[in-house]
Amino acid sequence: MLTLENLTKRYPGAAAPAVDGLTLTVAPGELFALLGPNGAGKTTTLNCLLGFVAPNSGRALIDGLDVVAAPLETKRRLAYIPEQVNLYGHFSGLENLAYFSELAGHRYPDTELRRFLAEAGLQDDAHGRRVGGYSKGMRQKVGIAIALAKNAKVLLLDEPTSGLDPGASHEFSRLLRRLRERGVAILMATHDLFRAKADADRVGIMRHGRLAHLLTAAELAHTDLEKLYLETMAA
Amino acid sequence: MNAFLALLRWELRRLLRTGTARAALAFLFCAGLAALAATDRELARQAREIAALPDQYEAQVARIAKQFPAGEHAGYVAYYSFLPTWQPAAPLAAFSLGLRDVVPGALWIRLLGLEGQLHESGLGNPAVQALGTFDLAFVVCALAPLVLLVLSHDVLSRDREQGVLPLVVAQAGGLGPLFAARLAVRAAAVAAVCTALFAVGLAWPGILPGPAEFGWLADMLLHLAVWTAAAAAIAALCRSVAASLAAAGTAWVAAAVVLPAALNLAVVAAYPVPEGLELTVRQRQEIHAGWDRPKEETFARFFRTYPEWRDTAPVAGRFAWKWYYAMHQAGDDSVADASARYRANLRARAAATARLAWLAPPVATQLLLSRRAGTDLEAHLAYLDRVRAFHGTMKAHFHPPVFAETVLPVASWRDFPRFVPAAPPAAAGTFAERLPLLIPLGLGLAVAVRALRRPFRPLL
Repeated sequence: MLTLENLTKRYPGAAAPAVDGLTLTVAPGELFALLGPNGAGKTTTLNCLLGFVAPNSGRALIDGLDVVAAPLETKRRLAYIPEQVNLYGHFSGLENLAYFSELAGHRYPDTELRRFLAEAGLQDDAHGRRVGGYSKGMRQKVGIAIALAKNAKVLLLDEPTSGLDPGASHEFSRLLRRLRERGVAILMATHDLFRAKADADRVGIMRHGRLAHLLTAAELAHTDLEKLYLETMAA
Repeated sequence: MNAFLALLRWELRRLLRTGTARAALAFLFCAGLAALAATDRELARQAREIAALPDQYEAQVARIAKQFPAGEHAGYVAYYSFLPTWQPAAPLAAFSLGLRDVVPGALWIRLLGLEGQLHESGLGNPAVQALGTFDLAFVVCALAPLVLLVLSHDVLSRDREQGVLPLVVAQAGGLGPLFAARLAVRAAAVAAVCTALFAVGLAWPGILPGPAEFGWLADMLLHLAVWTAAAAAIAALCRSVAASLAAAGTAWVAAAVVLPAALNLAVVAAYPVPEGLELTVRQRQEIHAGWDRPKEETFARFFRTYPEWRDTAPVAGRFAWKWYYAMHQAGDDSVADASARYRANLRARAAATARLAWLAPPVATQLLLSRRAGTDLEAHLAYLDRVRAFHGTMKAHFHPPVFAETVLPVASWRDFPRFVPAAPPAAAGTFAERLPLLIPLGLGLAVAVRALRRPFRPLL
């Protein structure tokens, strides 16, 4: 369970808050897509949840724990896939996965690590190659494998399909479905309206740090999301 | 604990995958081997020189005996008799040569005025003095910190710049154990190289390690711990690689290069010491002035120091050996105050350097290491004091026959006093002398911990 209660973040010197009184809940097994243009506050919301920036007011809770009061415990309960997955170039994909998993306190045998990589869509012959020679999409898949291996209750995604080819993107959607079935609460910040409509249980459109629209899956089925998005931006 | 060990294992693997790290550690090891080789060569030369002294002395006695088979006036024999003195190097000199290659380790002493003999051999090697000794202590004090800083300054800033840090923090939760593991591995790698060099330095000449050797090793590791703390503070405070590199470079240049040189200049200016050459010249001038001075005046001065010869017969002719040696004694007496000031000011310089070492940990470590090795100023002054005492023994031996105008038969030459060498004084140093290391160690760690504990450190 992920909860934001009136979350506000204003960067020093900024005229307006990046996130302005945002309140939402993502239930276990739910995928919530946050849409919005650059600067709408999507990434700042994720950064508040990750403890990378301090909210000025309001609360961000992971599994009922405040991210400010319990930073270690909350990070243990969440996994994160950044927009640009940067890894250690001297290590192979397999080594990066093993390293980041051990950082999270999980030690897996090689076969299990390879299974995570395969589940994330990384081809077998790439597992042992150094990440320095990987494409952006391949690094993204290792990032997905890292998140899978953490086995977290909450998953934060920041433009996760950026850099993935359509086939891999489709595979990623299937993966998200499996995670939801396992009860993982997923908050995904994205520009990809198609992916949001196809995958999300609910969609929120952010503008100036606030939720301008909140749509359920049922509402999404009858809404021209692109039109609504463009109208919101133009307003 | 298992998780931390796993972190250490991964960080070691990461470190060794980096070409720069491997090159830096290899450079340190090669530099250390070169330092050990250079020190070994110098000590071997000194050992050969000392080992040859007895044979050289016997050859000298034989040469004089051949020249004067029937014996000779005691003054004449004493004039041509050079008696060897020496100070053997302690085993730890193999690591910390200290003053050992700029001051004499062996001196041939005659019955003549002593001051000139003490200093005329110590005039050489200004180039070595200017550059500093290239020994393992130098490698540990100057080069190892440089390698440590190169490896450690960017343990966070590089991840931040490469964009890995957010994922690292999201996975690890907190930075503390990861930061500690990264620094520990880098410090351990540098310490391992230095310890390996230490082991090579023991095995090379076949030194059996004892408490003194392990104490030297402990002080070396303490010094590396200080620089680890400095690296921790820099790595925790600096956001960018450029900033951490600049901070690390500045810290190293300041503490290992500029401050020691500045402290040396300040101490030399604050405690002026007459040069050995100046003492020698003044003494010689006084001796030579004796040729034109009435003999009675020379003897009057001599008898003030040695009243036991007051009742000997006055010199009748133009020359007498006892008059000659009285002139030399006058030379020594004329610079006695300057000689005492020379030694006192050298000790004052050493004391001032130890006080100012609070500002530069490498200086504090060098002082500790050279003291443990018996290659510091105190060891050299102790040797000079032993030579001074031996010169007194020579006088006690030669004065009676010289003043009695006796001929010494060749057979008696075997009874000339023999110098008894002593191991150079070495000391472990006190806890207070380690405070210049312990305090920066604590400060560096405190700064790093405070910086890492700051909530919401900007990571992005």
